[in-house]
Amino acid sequence: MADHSTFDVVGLLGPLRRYARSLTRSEAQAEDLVQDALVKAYEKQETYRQAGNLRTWLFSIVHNVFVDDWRRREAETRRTEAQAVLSIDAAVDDPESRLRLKQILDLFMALPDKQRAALHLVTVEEMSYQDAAATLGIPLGTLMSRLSRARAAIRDIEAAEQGPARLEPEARRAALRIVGGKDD
Amino acid sequence: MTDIVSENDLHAYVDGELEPSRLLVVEDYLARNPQAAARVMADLRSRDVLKLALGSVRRKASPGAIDAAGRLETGMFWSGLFKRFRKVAAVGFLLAAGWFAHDETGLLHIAGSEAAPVPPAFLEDALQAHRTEILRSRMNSQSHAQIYDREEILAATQIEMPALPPAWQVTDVQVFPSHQGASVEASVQAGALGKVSLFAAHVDNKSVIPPTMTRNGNDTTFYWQKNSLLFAITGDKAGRPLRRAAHAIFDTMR
Repeated sequence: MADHSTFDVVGLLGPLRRYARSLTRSEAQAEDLVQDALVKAYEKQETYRQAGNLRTWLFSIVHNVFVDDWRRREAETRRTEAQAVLSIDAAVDDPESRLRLKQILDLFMALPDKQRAALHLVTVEEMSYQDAAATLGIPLGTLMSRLSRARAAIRDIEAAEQGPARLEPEARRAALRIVGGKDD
Repeated sequence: MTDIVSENDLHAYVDGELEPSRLLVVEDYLARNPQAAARVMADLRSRDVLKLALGSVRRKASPGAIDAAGRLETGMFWSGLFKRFRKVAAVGFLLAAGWFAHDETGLLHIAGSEAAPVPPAFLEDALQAHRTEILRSRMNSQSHAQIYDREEILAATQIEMPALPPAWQVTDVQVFPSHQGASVEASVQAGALGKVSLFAAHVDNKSVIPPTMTRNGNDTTFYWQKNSLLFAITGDKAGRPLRRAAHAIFDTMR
């Protein structure tokens, strides 16, 4: 086969699928979303030239397909499907750590779509703020505000759910509320 | 030096987005503010947890997604290449007018048969594939796949390629975007026939068409249909040997 390494779409399948999974909160729907997005990308290849960055270009298409076509459909099945993604195996043996991992993951999945998308791109994909904002088509300030609210929500609820008595001193201090960003 | 550390600075610290000079300011601030430091620790922890939990995807990608990714890759690769070489005279792409002329003479139709006509787009794709391959074979920068793995091609494109005469040597296999989804072109050193291209693509209707000839410039193409797959063999050595080869391949196919 030809050397397509300049356009390594196949190599980005993994990252695209995990982003789609965070958006749809379902492994099965993530597959469909990525496939839809790749078909859309094929149709609008000429827009790649303006973007110039294959990763942000493809991520933004996944995002737009999710926002435009997908979210409505997803809302109907959200409750039943939400469990599927939470069974992710991480290499954690210690039951306490597993519980903690599950708690944070649950909180992440319960975030509003926009905040979840921002936190995923910056945290899991390790995108620069610039790239993440470009992917989402929002100004930098808006990205920071979403990031801020997402993190505050995880910090606060996690602390509240655990109850102050069970918190270690360090975590108890972390639970103190720090002023978050405004709505965008 | 600014001493005011903002909310955004703390996020940038967690995400490794701080300039080195700013990093020192923020670290100094955190050393003096245990509350902010604890907050940063909590954010770092949730960051690590999310990376761990969401960083991998367990199962393989679905065949549909792999197929779509491959098609996009190929499409982008070729549209880039076509743009670069559009002006090269050697890439004398088919002129639509030529095909309309053929069409009017009924060459593209199966005379006296009720079979649907072979779409001109298919023959156009077949010829483009052949001529691009000739161009590619002259370019050292192009890699060539010399393994004619029919099972792999079938898995990737749902196209069952025919077995070829043992003396034929496959020099390159390419998957192309075409009017009807992915299509496959095998470039073959076919003994006395010289360099020929075998092209295959999906078609909407099911039918059987025996090998039928069409010409364009120096190139001769025999095309045939088996069920919902169209095949074309193109070469620049005219006539009978190519016809015999086309029939021989046609006969081996179920």
